Amino acid sequence: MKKLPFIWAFTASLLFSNAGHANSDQHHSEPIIDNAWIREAPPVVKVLAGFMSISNPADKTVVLTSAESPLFEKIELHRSILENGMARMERQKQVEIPAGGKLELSPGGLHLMLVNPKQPLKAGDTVEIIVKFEQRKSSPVVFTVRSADNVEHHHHH
Amino acid sequence: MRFRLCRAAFPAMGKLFFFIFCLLFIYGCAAKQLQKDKRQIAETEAEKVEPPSGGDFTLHSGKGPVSLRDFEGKVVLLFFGYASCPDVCPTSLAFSTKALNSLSEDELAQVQPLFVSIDPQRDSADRLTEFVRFFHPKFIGLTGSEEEIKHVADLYGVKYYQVELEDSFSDYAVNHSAALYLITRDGTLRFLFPYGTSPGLIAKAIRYLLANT
Repeated sequence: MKKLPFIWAFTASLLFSNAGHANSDQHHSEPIIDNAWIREAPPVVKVLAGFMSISNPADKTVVLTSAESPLFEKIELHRSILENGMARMERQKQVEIPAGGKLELSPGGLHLMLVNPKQPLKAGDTVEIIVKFEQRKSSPVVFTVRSADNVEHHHHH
Repeated sequence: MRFRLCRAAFPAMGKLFFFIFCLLFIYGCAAKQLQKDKRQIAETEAEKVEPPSGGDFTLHSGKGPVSLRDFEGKVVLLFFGYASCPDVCPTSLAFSTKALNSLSEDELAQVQPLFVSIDPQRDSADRLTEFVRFFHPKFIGLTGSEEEIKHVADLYGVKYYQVELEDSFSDYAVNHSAALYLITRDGTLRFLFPYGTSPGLIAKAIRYLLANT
């Protein structure tokens, strides 16, 4: 008999184990961006792809809405989607990063589409891009140009 | 109150009911999962299609016509894409390049990577060559008329179609099959890899074909 409350408590803890996390006192934490990089491409390519990891330490969802930089004519948020062996791209108006979550923009998935670079970019160059979130400070982020064959690079920190 | 009384009267019964409840719950979950698995298998079966035949073709590089049979004696790594493709094609090219770079000089000399444009409207042979050579100097970019491209795509089971990018910078994107094909020294299509196959596995398959065909 005495074991029963323990079993219930255990079951309840399994059911609600996710509930406790979001309650930490982090109301004003800004999203953290790291591993920001641009894939180097030949000059003939007028559209580059930018990648980064965004962590959201806050207790509310943050929404990535856009990005801009005087170095590019335009920046859009796109997602590459593979369905039944077919690759396609879909423009995203915005992307949510849940409270306490992490969002990866990485090759073959979400990416910033960087249109018409004003100057050629070589591996090792750095570019500043303003990354914008809904109801948050926009933060300038330094993106490093990496050579295209750096395919397994996106877990370095 | 009644529950308490009942529990006091039949403590063992309470436990028993609890365990039966747990068992039923677990069984329910397992049965549901099994059903889901079965359905997924059924769906996969339904999508199964005949493997593409492959075969010889002739297209154009910046330096004139190029046929698959020109590379008889070499293992050919073939895939399809377009130069204005910002993410998927560079990723495929980068993976292939990594595979090629892991081969010895002797092995590499017996391999020919080919990249066929499914966007002949925008990809001139020169533009395509510049695009693919950026990744690896051994790449040959191939393009042709709409009909020529369609013919090769059909041989390899490649589907592609233009889509307007709504509310976007670019005129159009091309949705396309993103597989990678390995062709034996005698021109037979042997392996088809889905997009995202690791460079290590691609290199392994190349070595296998070099040693066994």
